[in-house]
Amino acid sequence: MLLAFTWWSVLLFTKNRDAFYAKRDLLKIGLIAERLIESDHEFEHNINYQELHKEYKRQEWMIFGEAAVFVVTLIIGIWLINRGYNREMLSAQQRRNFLLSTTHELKSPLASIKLVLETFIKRKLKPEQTEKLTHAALQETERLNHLVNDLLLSAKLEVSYQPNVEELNLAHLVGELIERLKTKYPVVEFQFHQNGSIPNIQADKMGMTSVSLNLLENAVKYSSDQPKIEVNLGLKNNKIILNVADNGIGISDKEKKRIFEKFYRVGNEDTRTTKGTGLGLFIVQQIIKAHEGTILVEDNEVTGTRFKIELPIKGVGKK
Amino acid sequence: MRILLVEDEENIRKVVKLNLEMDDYEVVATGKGRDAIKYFHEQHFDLIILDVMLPEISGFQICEQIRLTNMEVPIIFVTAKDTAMDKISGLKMGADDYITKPFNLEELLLRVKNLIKRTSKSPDNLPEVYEFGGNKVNFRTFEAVGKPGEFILTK
Repeated sequence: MLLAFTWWSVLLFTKNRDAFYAKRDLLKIGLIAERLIESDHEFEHNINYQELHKEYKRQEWMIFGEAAVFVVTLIIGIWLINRGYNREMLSAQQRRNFLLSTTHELKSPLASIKLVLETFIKRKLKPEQTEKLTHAALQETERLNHLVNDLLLSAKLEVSYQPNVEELNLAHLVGELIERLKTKYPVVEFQFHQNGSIPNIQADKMGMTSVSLNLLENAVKYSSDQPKIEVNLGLKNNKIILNVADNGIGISDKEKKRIFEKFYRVGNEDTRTTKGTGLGLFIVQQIIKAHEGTILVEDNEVTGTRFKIELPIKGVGKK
Repeated sequence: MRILLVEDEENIRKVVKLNLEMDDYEVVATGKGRDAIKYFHEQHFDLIILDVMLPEISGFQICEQIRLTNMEVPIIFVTAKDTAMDKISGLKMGADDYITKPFNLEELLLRVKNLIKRTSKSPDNLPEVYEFGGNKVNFRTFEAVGKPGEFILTK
């Protein structure tokens, strides 16, 4: 198409030039016949020729201008289509990744529970084996429950989430969650620092639990072989500041821009080292937004990632 | 009979291993693809059960690598990927069977049993030591003795 436009412009230029030459020759013959000019020099200074030449140059610039507008419009069009196509491909890839990860996250616990129940039917197990398998099945039901909650919450966040605001002691909530995770992940070193006295905030308890748990679980998931997670809670400029830092592999600058997108997961689902659906950070950001707060992702010192949340003390709509 | 079980879901791995062991199979289980390849090259297995979505290296890639050197060992894919395209990809890679999660325990055990029965050599037809013209081949220890000396055979 670009070539067609260029060819069209060249043709127009040529035709314009040919037309000018023809008109010029006609004018010259006329002037010679009327004995108004006697040399080429006189012809070039003839007012009629100069008018004709001016008109020719004007038309030439007009053609050049039109061609330039067409080509620029075309290039912009191609760029827009290409950008749209790339975005569509990226979003299709994200949807595929979500489908794969959700399929994996839904079917794996189901398969585990089914296998445990079938083993109970088929085998005569020792009491300790029965206990172990029962514990495994319960663990999987919890995982399923967590996934279903995340799916429902992410759907709700997009259409009708209104924080159920109540007075909340965030330090107490985060401390409790850390204690729970210490039991769940005994190898992880958790450090919780509270800088000064933290006032109660007006916030949705369930939402804040989801935010804190998602950040803490993420920190565990992406930590190094000797996981160390540092949580800091403080007060600055009448805002609660919550920092969650890990010593994991970190997030590249390119990925930092996208990690809060719904379903976004880094890499290929077939060779995924961590489990998840790509909903966690989307949920976190949406809940923080609904509380009129902000969330930032930064590089942690030495290595790893740090999430920084700022929340207004007075809560939603009470500035 | 020895089985290599590659499954990154810890609970599934534990339950399948327990059931296979209760059926008198010797099971080596791992959740990591790279370990699976290492074990495969170091040890002899009569069957491999492979998940597809694994950390670092996918089950399809493991199957492909195994098939470069070994076309005999039966491979069963056990995975949550259940589209026709996934199944075709798995079978194209050289797998012998493809089971989707959540699967039936009895079905998996029967498929394992049948595949091993079909692919393993009958002990009646395969003597432990085979002799011909002053040469000896030991099929259990994979050693051969001939005029030039002793050789260790590849498995």
